[in-house]
Amino acid sequence: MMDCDPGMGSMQEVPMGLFDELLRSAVGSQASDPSGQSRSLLDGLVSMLEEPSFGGVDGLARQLEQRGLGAEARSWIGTGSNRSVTPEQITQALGAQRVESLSGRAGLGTAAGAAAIAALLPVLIDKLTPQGSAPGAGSLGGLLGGLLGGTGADAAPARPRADFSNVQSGSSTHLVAEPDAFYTVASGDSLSRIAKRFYGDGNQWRRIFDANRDQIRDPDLIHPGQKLKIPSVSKPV
Amino acid sequence: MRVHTAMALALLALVGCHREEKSEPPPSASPPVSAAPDLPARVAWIEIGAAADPNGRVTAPSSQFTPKDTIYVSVLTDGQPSGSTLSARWTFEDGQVVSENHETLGPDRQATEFHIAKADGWPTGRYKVEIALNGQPAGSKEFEVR
Repeated sequence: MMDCDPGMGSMQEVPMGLFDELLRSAVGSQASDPSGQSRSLLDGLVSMLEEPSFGGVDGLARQLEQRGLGAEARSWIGTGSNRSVTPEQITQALGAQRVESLSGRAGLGTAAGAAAIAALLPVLIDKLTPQGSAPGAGSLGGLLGGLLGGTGADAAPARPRADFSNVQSGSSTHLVAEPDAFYTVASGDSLSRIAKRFYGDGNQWRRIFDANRDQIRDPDLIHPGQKLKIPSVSKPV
Repeated sequence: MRVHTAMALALLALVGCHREEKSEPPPSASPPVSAAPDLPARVAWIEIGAAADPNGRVTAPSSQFTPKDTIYVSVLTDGQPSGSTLSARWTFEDGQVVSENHETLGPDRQATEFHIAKADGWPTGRYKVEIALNGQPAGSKEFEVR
């Protein structure tokens, strides 16, 4: 397994440019805003670690251990060189949904996001554990702020957690009453044939039947000259 | 005997051509209307926008909003949705749940609108609304507040 330590294992503060460069190397042309994207990813990763159910750095180490990546996790927490992981391994360890969410907030596709996380996470954990031991989950946000703070103009302030406690919401349901078309039954027609004509699927005859219950009692019995309502063809979701 | 045979053949012919046009009144043995199979409820389409009409339809679909917008999602359901539950789950880019709403559907085609508003303005960023019908994912829309 190759090492990915950039040679800054004992530093308490890390120039944000380091993470920017790691991200740029990992995602190539998708690095439209390396500073903002790397910051978003780091914030997302720390938020993940801070989740009570995740369990901080120790929780991450356990997840990696379960995926056969215990040696990699220990190398990040310890004081030696960091061992690398692949985007696929990080996706398996964190879960595809988590990786997709983290990638999305950084404006990256899932594959590029996984590559970026695989590049940034070892260094992030390394810098959060300068003494070779995992800090408590509750202190991680502060550690990240200290890690990136005071490093120049490109050190963006941590974005406060959004507050949605005062969101107002509502809903209502309305009967869709309007017929969207009419069709006059011709000799030889059946609901199935009419459904096939309008929907391309004879099995959709029930939609026409339901829309014309006022004049059709038996779906097997329609008459030439009857004017039927044809519900609109729905657009796919 | 010949008359009986002809009547029997005529009845067989009527029963054998489902939903075909006929000019004769229905035979007494025709199945009741309720015997026709129900189509399952389904979500036909989803649209989001900053306004909706009184019929629950989004008037100008969009995926970009300003912080002061009220955001509407309109969901058309058809099939036999009566008694079904339609839900909308709104989430922010960091995974926070912004709001969650439910509606119980009546019979026939329904247009259901869900809306959210925030008096002090939406945080900028990416959002997602996920629609579920009877607890099963039925579609989603992503949007951005700038």
